[in-house]
Amino acid sequence: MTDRDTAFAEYFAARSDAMRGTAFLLCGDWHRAEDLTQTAFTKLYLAWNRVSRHEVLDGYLRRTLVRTYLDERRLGWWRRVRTSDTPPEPPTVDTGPEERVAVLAALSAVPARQRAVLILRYWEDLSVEETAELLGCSAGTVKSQAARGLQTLRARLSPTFTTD
Amino acid sequence: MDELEFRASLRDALDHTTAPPSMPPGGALQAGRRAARRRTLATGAAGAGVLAIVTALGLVVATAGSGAQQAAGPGAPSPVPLASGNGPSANGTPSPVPIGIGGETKPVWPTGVDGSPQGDRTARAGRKADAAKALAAHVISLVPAGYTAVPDAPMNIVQAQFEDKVGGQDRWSYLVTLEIRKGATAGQLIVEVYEPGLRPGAGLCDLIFWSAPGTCTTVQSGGQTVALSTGSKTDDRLDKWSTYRYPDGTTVYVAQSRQGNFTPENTAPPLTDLPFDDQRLAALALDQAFHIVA
Repeated sequence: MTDRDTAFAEYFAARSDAMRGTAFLLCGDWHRAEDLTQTAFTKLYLAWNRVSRHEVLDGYLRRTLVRTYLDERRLGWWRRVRTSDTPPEPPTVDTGPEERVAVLAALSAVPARQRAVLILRYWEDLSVEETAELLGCSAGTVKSQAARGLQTLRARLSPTFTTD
Repeated sequence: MDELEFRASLRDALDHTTAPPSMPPGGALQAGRRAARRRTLATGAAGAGVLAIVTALGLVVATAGSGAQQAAGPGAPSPVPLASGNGPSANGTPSPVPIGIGGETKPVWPTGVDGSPQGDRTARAGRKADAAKALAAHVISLVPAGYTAVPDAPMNIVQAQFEDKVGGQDRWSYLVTLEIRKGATAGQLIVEVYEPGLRPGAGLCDLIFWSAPGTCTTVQSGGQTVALSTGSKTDDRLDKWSTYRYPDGTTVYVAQSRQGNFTPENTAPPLTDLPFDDQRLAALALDQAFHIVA
């Protein structure tokens, strides 16, 4: 195994779960999340020699993941590339409190780009400026997209969160 | 739901959703190697293709010199110019250019004041940015008596943004949102100007602003036709706006909202009355200060 392969495998073992969690929040499906994660890591592998420091690796991977997700939405489901012939083991769906399911369901109703803004801002903890840079838009757009995304979530979740 | 609740909900949802087993590094490594091999093969094939084209061109040039050009006749197709790498794409968006390994592309934004491409769509200095600032100053001057402008409100927007290339020219939009107050209530004035070619459409009511209006009618103001639109049930951000398109294609939207801003943190009660009546709102769309030529 080459040095690149060794370093890549170590990095994958350390970061793939977290990245897959982000992908799951973006797309709401573990199978698709694994495909997105695999695609992002494959692109990272190709660029490995250019992207060496780990703080840069994280940023590169996150950017690739989100852009792959948005590109996939634009191209349509039927043009997605399967990265593996073997589907992952079926996920176990936790039948937790209603709110947990409701949040994920509500998130799926938020338009893709707004969802990406919400996840980058409030899950990945990126600043407005970092989010804008990653998505190639202005800080004002990030703010308005975040506000609209939260507004949609609030509207969807209002029956769940209403207290008597 | 605010940001903190949303963040906590995401964490809670992920914590209580059992993920599939971790992905094995071996599979990722194999996929990476396969992609690297494909790229190497593709690069080799592309190189061979270029060689073939160069060879073919050499043959064409050689045969043209020997009279083959005349043999093509008047019905032969005209030569198609080669596309330049950084030209506008068919839909006018900035053309993506490759930035190296992996085939990743990124858009090329207009040149900024420092002579290098901007980092994103927004101009932060220079005449475009100055035009947006001038627009904001003018919007503040329009706030009617009884209302107070809040120029330093955190959610105000003053922005010049590259939109597209039209006919080979960079075209920009300018957006100003200004929070206004009347007593304890808050609302907004919003002006957005699009440079020529960005808002084509048969009629003024076809020019969608932030979303499709609930209603749209055209009125006469100062001898010009202006559209007056109202918000819809599905989008309550804007209550009423006017639209005017100059003969050169510059399109102006002047909107008013009862909401101080559109964030969940906005707790100010909404305006009970809108600052401008229909007549004034229509006239504002014709305000020459909004006819930006920057």
